[in-house]
Amino acid sequence: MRRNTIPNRGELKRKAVNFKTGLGLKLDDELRQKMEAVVQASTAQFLEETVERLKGLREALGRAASDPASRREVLEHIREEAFQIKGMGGVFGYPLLTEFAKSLHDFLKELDDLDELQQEIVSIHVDTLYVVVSHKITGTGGPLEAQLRASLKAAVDKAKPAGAKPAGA
Amino acid sequence: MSEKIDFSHVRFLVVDTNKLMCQLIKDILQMLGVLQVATARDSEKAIAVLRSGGVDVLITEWNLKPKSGMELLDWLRNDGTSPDRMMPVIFLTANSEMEYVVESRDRGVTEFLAKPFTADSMYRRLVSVIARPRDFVSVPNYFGPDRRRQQLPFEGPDRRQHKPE
Repeated sequence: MRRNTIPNRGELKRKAVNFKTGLGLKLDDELRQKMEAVVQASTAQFLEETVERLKGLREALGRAASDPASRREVLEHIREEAFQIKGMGGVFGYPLLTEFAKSLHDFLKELDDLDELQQEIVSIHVDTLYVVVSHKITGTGGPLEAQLRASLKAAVDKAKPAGAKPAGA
Repeated sequence: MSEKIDFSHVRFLVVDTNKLMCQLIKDILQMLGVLQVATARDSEKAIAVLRSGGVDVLITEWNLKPKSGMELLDWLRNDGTSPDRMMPVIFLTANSEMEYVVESRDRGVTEFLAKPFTADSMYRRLVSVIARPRDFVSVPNYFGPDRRRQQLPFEGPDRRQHKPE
């Protein structure tokens, strides 16, 4: 099979890279702090939006419980919201939000329906995410974090078929 | 004297369904000195912006609608109507698992940055696509940046030239 190599045109490099003006190729402390300050400036908005997302998840769970026909739509909604929180949490200094949202997203990944037990597991995830937001838990290694992690793991394991590996194994 | 990047000469398109994430990336780029940042919340708008021209670097989430970020990448790399098949594309995605990294690499992404990202990791990707551009490779099932990152001169015979990519 012929491999055809096409040299990069290098237009972008020619336009932007020079020896006089601009930023160094390595991120220095001052620039890092400026970038982090930009993120910091949006953190309050992120937390507000996350609370709204979690409220929306609670409402969706209520819909799934009262109207079984809505379960698939609710499942898609929760999956999307979990994905968003997974991607955002750590950016804004809340790695536990990312970890727990990932747990929720992973749990939902293979599902095509949301039975009562699965709704309960989702609900436990939502409650746990609430705790992280309301207590503004930015760490990952304290006793409260360990307790939250353990309760989630136990919940997820409860929904697994007998003989399956426990979460995190 | 060391190399510098003047970001004011680079035009970006940021695509993410999440409004706050779009705004955050835009704010970071502007802080770095970028003057032109377009944003899109779905792949249809992204394609419209790309078609209209004026984009040097695409930063996109994988999880998009109606076309996914991967389909957007495929269109850019392989479609006859693509405005620039060699445009640098950075996947900035919460699809952070290894399977996604491998698939995106095999489909022609320039850089992959998993969410949540740090300032350092983002800056490294930006520097890489602007200051360290890679050659492109075209084989029947792949068109994209050379996946062999270090392009060091080699004096011996090229034994790989007739082997599958």
